[in-house]
Amino acid sequence: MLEKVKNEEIICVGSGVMDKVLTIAPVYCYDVHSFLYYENQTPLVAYFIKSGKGKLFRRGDVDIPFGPGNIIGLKELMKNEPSYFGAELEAGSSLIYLDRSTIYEIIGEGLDKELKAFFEERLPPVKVPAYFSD
Amino acid sequence: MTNRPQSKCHNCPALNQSVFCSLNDDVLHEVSEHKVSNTYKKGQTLFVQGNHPFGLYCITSGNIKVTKVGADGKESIVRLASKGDVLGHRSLFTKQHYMATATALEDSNVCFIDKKFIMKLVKKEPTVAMEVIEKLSTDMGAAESKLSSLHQKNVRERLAELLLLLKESHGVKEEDGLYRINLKLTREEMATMIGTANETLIRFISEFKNAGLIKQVAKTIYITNEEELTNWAHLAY
Repeated sequence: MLEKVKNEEIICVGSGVMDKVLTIAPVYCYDVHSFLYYENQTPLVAYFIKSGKGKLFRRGDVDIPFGPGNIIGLKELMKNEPSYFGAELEAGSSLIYLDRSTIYEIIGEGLDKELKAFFEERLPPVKVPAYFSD
Repeated sequence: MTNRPQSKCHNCPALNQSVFCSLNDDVLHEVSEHKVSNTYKKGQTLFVQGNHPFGLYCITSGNIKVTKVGADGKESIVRLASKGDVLGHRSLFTKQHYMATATALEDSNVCFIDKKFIMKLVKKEPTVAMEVIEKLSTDMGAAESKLSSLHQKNVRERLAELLLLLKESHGVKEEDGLYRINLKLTREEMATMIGTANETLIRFISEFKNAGLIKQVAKTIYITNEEELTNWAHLAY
């Protein structure tokens, strides 16, 4: 069960997609340990880990590590659902924010076919709102 | 994508006080569909000093303290945010990191809208920009007042001023006409808000109680003599 949840909540990215993601949004460094989101919350953005490490946690007794090349919070963000796990990031890590607007841009405007296919394969059908393509 | 019904902007109890109060139904619906709504439990952080901002937080209910940690490691409360207030708006228009940490003082409902969407909205709906400017101006006024208060007033005056501010923002009028401050702050938190030591604050609270300006029931403070409290605060307009 845990393995299933882990596989669904942590998305692994290959180097090709990773390079492309790096071209669409800036990388930010976290100088202090931070909670990205808490359990039962909907992530505010999806987090693409560039370097460093963190973990998904549940009530202090489940720890699932994640690291470079992983995306967390993506499905919950786009489905607008609370996450079963919380997520925390260690100081010194760096990441990219993938907010809803950016994901709509990738899927709706089709700026890059490979990125569009990557997100479409990993998400349930996303209807890009009309207001976002105005 | 579907929002939970209770999180629709149209039903938000804080809509009239928010930066989106002037939007028409269609645009409000767009905001509703785009935002993320969450409950932060007491002690959970919305954002942390030093991290990079990525959007706007709207407080629907509850209370959030905004704190800064100084070079000496001490935390001080720079402002309190409650229903209808926004956080992160200053950082929207700069490339600066968060200059403070926001933490829930009690279970609070908070909506979040990402920066790209807000910037798009600001261009499309200038009323949102005007509302954000108004919030920024109010914040600046409050910061200037606090700065001059810290420089020019003694602790007694600053405490009287804080109690009056809390009465304005969180006061609930009781049947007996007294105002109950509907916010649980620790003595330490109150002390950091007026820039004094915990012990000093406790001494002055006793003085205020003895003078009949306030009364305390358990941890709740009531304003019993607002007029005299105003005199003690030496408020200048």
